[in-house]
Amino acid sequence: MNKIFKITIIMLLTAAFMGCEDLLDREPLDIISDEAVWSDPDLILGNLLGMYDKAPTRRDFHGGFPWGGAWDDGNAEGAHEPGFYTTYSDEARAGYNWVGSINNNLNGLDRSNNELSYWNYDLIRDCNVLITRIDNGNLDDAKREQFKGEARFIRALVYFELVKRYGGVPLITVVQDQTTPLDELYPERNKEKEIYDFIIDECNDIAGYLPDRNQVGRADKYTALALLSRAALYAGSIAKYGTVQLDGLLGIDANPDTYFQKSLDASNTIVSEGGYALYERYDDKAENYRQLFLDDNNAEVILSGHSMVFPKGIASIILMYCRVMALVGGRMCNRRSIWSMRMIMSMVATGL
Amino acid sequence: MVSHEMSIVEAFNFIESKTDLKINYDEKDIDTNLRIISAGGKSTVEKLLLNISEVSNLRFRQVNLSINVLKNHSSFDSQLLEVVIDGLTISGKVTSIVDGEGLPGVNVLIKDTGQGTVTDIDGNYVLEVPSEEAILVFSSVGYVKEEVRVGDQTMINIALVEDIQALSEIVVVGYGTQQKVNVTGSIASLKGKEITEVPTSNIANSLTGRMAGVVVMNRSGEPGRDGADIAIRGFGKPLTLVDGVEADFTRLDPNDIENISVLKDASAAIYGARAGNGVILVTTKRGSSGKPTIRLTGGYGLQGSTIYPEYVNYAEYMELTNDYNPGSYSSEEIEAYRSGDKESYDWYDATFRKTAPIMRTNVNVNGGTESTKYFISYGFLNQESVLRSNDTNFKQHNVRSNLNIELSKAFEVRLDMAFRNENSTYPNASMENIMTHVAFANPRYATVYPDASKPSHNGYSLVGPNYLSSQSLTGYRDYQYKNTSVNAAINYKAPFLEGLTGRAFLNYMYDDTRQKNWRKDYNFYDYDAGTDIYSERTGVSKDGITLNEYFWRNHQTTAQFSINYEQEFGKHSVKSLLMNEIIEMGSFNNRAGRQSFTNSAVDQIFASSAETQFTEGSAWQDARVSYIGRFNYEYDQRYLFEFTFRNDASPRFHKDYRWGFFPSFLAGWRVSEESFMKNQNLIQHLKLRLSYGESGYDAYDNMYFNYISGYRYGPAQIVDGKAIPTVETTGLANEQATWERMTIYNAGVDVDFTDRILWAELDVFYRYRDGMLGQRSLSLPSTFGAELPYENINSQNSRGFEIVLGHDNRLDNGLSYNISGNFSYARAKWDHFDEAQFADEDNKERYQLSGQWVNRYFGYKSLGLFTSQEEIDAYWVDQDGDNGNGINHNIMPGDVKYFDYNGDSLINELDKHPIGKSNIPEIFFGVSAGLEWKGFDFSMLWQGASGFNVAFSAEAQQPFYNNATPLNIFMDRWTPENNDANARFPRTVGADGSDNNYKASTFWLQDASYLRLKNVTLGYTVPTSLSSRVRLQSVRVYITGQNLVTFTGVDPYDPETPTSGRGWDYPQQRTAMMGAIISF
Repeated sequence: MNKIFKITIIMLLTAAFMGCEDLLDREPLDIISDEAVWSDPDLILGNLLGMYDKAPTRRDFHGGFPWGGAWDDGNAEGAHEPGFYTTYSDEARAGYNWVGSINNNLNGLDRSNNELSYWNYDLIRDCNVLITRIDNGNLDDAKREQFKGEARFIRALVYFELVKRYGGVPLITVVQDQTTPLDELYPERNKEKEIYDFIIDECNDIAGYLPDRNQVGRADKYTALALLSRAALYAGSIAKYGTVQLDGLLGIDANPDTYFQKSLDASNTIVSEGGYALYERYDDKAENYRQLFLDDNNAEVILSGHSMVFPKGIASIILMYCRVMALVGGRMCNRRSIWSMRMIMSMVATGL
Repeated sequence: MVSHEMSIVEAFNFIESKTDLKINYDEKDIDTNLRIISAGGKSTVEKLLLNISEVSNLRFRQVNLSINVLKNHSSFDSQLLEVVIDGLTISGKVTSIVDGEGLPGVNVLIKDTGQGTVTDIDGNYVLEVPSEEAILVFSSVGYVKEEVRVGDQTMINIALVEDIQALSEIVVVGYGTQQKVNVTGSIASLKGKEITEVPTSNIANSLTGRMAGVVVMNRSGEPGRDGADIAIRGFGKPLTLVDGVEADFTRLDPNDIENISVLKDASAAIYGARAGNGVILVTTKRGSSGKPTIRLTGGYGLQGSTIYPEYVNYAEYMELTNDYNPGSYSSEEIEAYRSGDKESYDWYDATFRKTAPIMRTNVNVNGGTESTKYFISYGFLNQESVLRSNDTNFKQHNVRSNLNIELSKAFEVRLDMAFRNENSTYPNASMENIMTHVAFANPRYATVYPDASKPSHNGYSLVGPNYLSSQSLTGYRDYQYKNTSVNAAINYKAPFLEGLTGRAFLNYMYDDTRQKNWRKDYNFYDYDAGTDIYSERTGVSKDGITLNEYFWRNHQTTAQFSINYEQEFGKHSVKSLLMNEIIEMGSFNNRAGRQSFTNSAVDQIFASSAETQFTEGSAWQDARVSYIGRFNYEYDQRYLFEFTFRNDASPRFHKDYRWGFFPSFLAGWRVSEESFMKNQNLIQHLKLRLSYGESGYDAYDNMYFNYISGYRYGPAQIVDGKAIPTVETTGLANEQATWERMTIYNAGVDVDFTDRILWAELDVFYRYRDGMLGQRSLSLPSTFGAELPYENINSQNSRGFEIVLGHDNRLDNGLSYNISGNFSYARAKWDHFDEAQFADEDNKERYQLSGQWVNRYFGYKSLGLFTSQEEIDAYWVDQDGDNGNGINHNIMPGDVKYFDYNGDSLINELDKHPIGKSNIPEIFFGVSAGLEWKGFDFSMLWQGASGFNVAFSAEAQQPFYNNATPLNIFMDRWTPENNDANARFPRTVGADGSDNNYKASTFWLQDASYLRLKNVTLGYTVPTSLSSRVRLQSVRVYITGQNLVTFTGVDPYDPETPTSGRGWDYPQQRTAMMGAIISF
C-alpha cells in the first residue's frame, strides 16, 4: 500500500516538474496571426471589407450620440438621425446641456474636435498595409490587383475627405513603423494640388484593374471614375476661384480647365459605358427623388454601403438588420443615401 | 526457564505472561530480526531487559507496573533501565472556561521532562508523574498556558482561558502557517468568529474597519451587488485566495470561514506576479475529532437605506421655478399645495419602502474520529429589496464538505467540495434607470391613478418609476450563478526522515452564469380626472418584446506539488518549502436573443421568429506556471529570517519575457526573548520586523497578448446582401510587455505589555510600483496611423503607516473586556508618467502628473456667492468670458464668485488647481470594543475614513438639471431674502440657464470624511447548566445592527457613494438583525 502511494507521489511530482511548461504556449483564442491573415484569400477579403466598414460615410459625421430627436424618440429610425447637425444651426428645437454641439452652437465650432472633423490616418495605414502585404497572399493576379485597387480607392477616398477639410496634408503611401527615419515619420504637408493629383491619378490607374461591376457595396471601375470626376471638379474649382496661400498648402496653381476636362471625361465614360440611368420610375419628379434613396440598388446607384447596426443600442435590442447608409456624398439623409447618377448627370448637364 | 533464543517481541510477551508488568512499545522501534539468548535458569526481568538493551538500541523506563520501551537516541542516554517507583497517577479533565466543554488535544506535560500526554476527545487525561514536586503544564493552541504543581492532588481539573490575541495563535501565510510570534511580515488577520458576529450579506463588508491597512468601501446596497471595493494600503484590487486557490471569497458562507489573513508587505511576494496589491487568504473550517457537534445559526432582520434623497413637494417645486421664472405660478396656487388642499406626490416614497427583510441561516456539523474528520455546512441567505415592488431579490445557497482522512501514519487525504448557487432577480429596468425616473418625477403628478392597473407616469419623462420597477410590467433580468470547487490533497509524512513532508494538491473550479433578460412591452397612461378617461401615452418607448439569454462558463484548474522540511537542531530551527504550482483556466460565453415577440405569454427563446435572432460569443484561455520556495531560519526563538522566491510565468507575455523572478527577504528580532529582557515584568513580548519584497501585477485587460500583432474579427460587412465577417488589426504589438513590478519595504514593531494591558502593532511601508502600462505620449505623429502599444513605462510610489493599539483585561468579578483601534494612512504619487514636456509653467503645474500625488481633484476656488450687483460690478475678474455685453454681464447676485488663481483677471481653465482628493480615502480607521460578563457579550465597532472627497454633480448640484425635480436641500438656496454669501446653494437657474455656478469648484466639493457605528452586537449565552438540561451544548441569542449611525458632512447621500455623485445608485443599507446560535 505505502509503496504504491510513494510511487504515485514520485510520479506526480516528476510529471509536475517536467511537463507543464507546454501550458504556457497558449495563444489567444480571438486573434488570428499576421501570417495567417496574409496567406488566406478569405481573410484578406475580410480585411478589405473591414476597410469599407471604416470608410468615410455620413454615418461618421453623426457624432457618437444615438438620439437625434427628442428624449423619448426611441424608434428605430430616430436612433441614427443626424441630430447633431441640427444643433449647429437654428433648426434644433431642443437640446441638453451635456450635448457638446449645443455648446458648439453657442460658443462657435471647436476646430480641433467636433462632429465635422475627420483625420483618419489609421485607415490610410490599413490600406497601405494591405497594398504592401497582399503580394505575399495566395491570390491570383487579377484578384490581387483588384483587391489592391479597392484599397487604393478607399485610400483616395480618405485623402479626398482630408483635402476637402484641410487643404494639403502629408501624403503617406507606405507603412511606417517605429524604425522609420524621423524625417519620414514627421513629413511636411504636401501641397493641396499634390493631394488632388494623387487622388485623380490613383483613380485613373485603378479604374484599369477594377471590374466593370463589383459586388454591391464594393468599388468598381465606375466608382473610381466617379471619385475621379468629383475630385477633379473640386480641384478645377479651387484652381479657378481660389487663391494660392501658404506656399501651395492651400489653393491650386494650375489650369482649371485641365481638371474640368478630366472630370467631364470621367463622367462621360460613366454615362456612356457604365449602364447607369436616372431613376425615373415615377412621374412625379419629387417622388422620384424621394424613392431614389429608398429603392435599394436602383440603376442610379453607383455605390452604396450596407452595414449592420443595432437600431437601439445593444442593451435593449439585439435584432440586427441591413440598412443602407450613405457611403459617399449625397444629401444628408437619415435612411439611405447614395452617390447617384443624378450628380454625375448634373455635371454633364451643366457642361462641366 | 530453559535457555533458548527468542525474538524481542517474544521476550516481551514472555515477561508479560509471567509478571503483572505491562510492556508498551511501538512495533516500528523493534527490529524483528534480532534474537536474544536467555541465560536460562532463573533470570530477573531486569537482566532480561538489559540483555535486550545490549543487542538492540532500546532502553526501558518503568513507571509502577508499566514498562515503556523507548528508542535510545544517543549513547549519552546512559540510563538503560530506569525505574520510577511510587510514581503518582494523576487524572483529570481539561475544559474551556467559555462553555465548560472538554477540550480535546490539550498537551499535558511534566515540566522540564518532555514527558506527558494529550487529552482525549472529552478532555480527559491520565498521567503518571514521578513525584509530588512535578509541575504539569497544560497547553493548547488558542488558550493561555497553565502550570499546576501536583502536590497532594490525584485529580487535577482545569479550565483554560481562551487567548484572544494569543501569541501561540497560528497565522495563515502564503502556502502555509506560522506561529504569530514568529511572523516577520505585515499580516492582519481576522477569525471566523468575528466575521459571523457581523450579519452582512457580503463578507467584504465584514472586513470594514477590523483590519489595519485594509480599506473597504461599500458602493451599493443593491441585493446581490452589495460587495465592497477592497484596497490593501490603498493599492488596487488584491489577489484573493480561498484555501490556496484564486477565488472570490465574498460570497462564502461566513460560518464556513476559519480565518482571513491579509498579507500587506513582502509576505505577499510569494504569490509573485499577482501579488503586487497584497493578498487576502481565506481558510475554511475543517473537522476535529470528537462526537459530532451540530451548530445551527439563524438570523432575521430588516434592511433600510442609510440615507436617501428627498425631493421637493409641488409647492416648493413651484417656488423654485418662480425663482428663475418669476410669476410662473401664482401664490394662491402655491398655497393650495402647501396647505394640502391640493395633493403633492412623493414618487420616491411610491417607489421605495423603508425596510426590507433579510434572512440568513446556516447549519453545520463538525466531528470525526482520530483518522477521519469532517466539517459539513449548508447556508442560505435571502435578501429582499427596498423597492416597493419587491421585485429585486437575492438568494444564495452554500454547501461545503471538508474531509480529512488519515489512511496511514504516513498518508492523509483531504477532499473538500464546495458548491454555491446565487439567484438574483431584478426588474428589467436597471436601478439607475429607476432612479432616473424618480429624479424626473414631477410631484404634481399622481403616483397611482384610481385604476391602479393603469400605470401612471411622472409628468416629465413620462414613465412611472414605481411601475417601472415591477417585473409584471417591464419584465425581468434574472441571474443564476453556480460555482463548484473541489479540492483533493494527499499529504505525505516521510517515515524515514522526521520533519519531511510532501503534498500533492489539486483544485478544479468551474462556475457558470446564466442571465435571462425578458423585456416586456409596456405603456403608461394619462388620466383626466374630470372625465375619468385614461389614454395611452404616445411616444413612450415601445421597443417590442425581447428576450436575451447569456451564458458564461469559467473553469480553473490549480495543481500544487510541494516538499516541506521542518526541523529543530538545538537552538536552530529551519523550515523550508519547495513548490511547483500550475494554474490553467479558460472561459467562454455566448449570448442568444430574439425580439418582436408577439405577446408575453411565453418567455422562451422559441416563442419568436428565428428571423429576429441574434447570437454572439467569446472565449479566452490563460495559464500560469510557477516555482516557489520559502526558507525560514530561527535562532533560539530570537532571530527570525525568511527568504522566499517565486519564479512565475504567464502565456500573456512573449516567450522571452514571460518569466519573472520575485524574491523577498524578511527578518525579525524578538527582543523580549533576549536575556537582558528577562528581568523585567513590563514587556511580555516585543518584536521588531523588517521586510523587502518584489512582486508584480498583471491583471490588466490590455495586457492579454499585447505581444502578438494580429487580427480580430470585426463587424460583418454586407456585400451582395450577404454578411461577410471582416478582420481588423489589433494594432502594434509590444513584444517586451510584461508585468508591473512592485517593490515594497516594511518596518514594524509588535509589543505586548504584561497581561496585554496594552498591546500595539506599528507598521510603516514604502512601495515602488514600476513598469505600469502606459502609452508613450506624442512620440509619434498622428499621420503614423496607429497607436503605440502599451509599454511598461510609468511608475508610482506609495507610502503609509498603520497603527493598532489594544487593551485586553479580565477583572476578578468575571468581566472581561477588550478595546482596540486601528488607524491607517496611505497615499500614492506619480513617480514618472509619460507625458509631453510642458513649456508653460502654469500648464506644468496644472497638468503634469510626474511627481504629483495621484489622488488630486481639480477645480476652481469659490469665494462664496455674490450678494449684490455692486459687488459684481466691483469684481475686476471676468467670470463669464462674454465681453460683448460687458464684463460679467451674465452674472447676478446669488452666483458663485471664483478666485482668479493665476491673476490674469479672467476665469478659465488656467485657474483650475488641485482643490481636493479622490473618492478613495487616505485615512481609514476602526475602533472596536468587546465586553463579556456572565454569559452576556457586547461588541461595538466604530469605523471611519478621511482624506477623500465626493464631488456632487448634475441633479445633486443643480435644481431642474435636465428638468429633473429638485432635491429638497435646494430650498436652502440663495434668494434675495436669504442674501447670504455662504448660502448652501446659489440662486436657482433653470435647466438652460447660466453654467457659471456649476463648474468643478470648492463650492461643490464635499469633504467625505465620516465616522459611523458600523456594528453593535449584544448577545447572551445561556448557562451550560440550563442548556444541557435540554441536551444542548450551547445556546446564544443576539441582536445586532449594522451602519446604525453615521456622522458625515455629505448630505443627502451616503459618504461611501460612488463617483458619479448624482445619487442614481441603490443606497447603502443599514441592518438590524436578531438571531440565535445553537450547538448540540
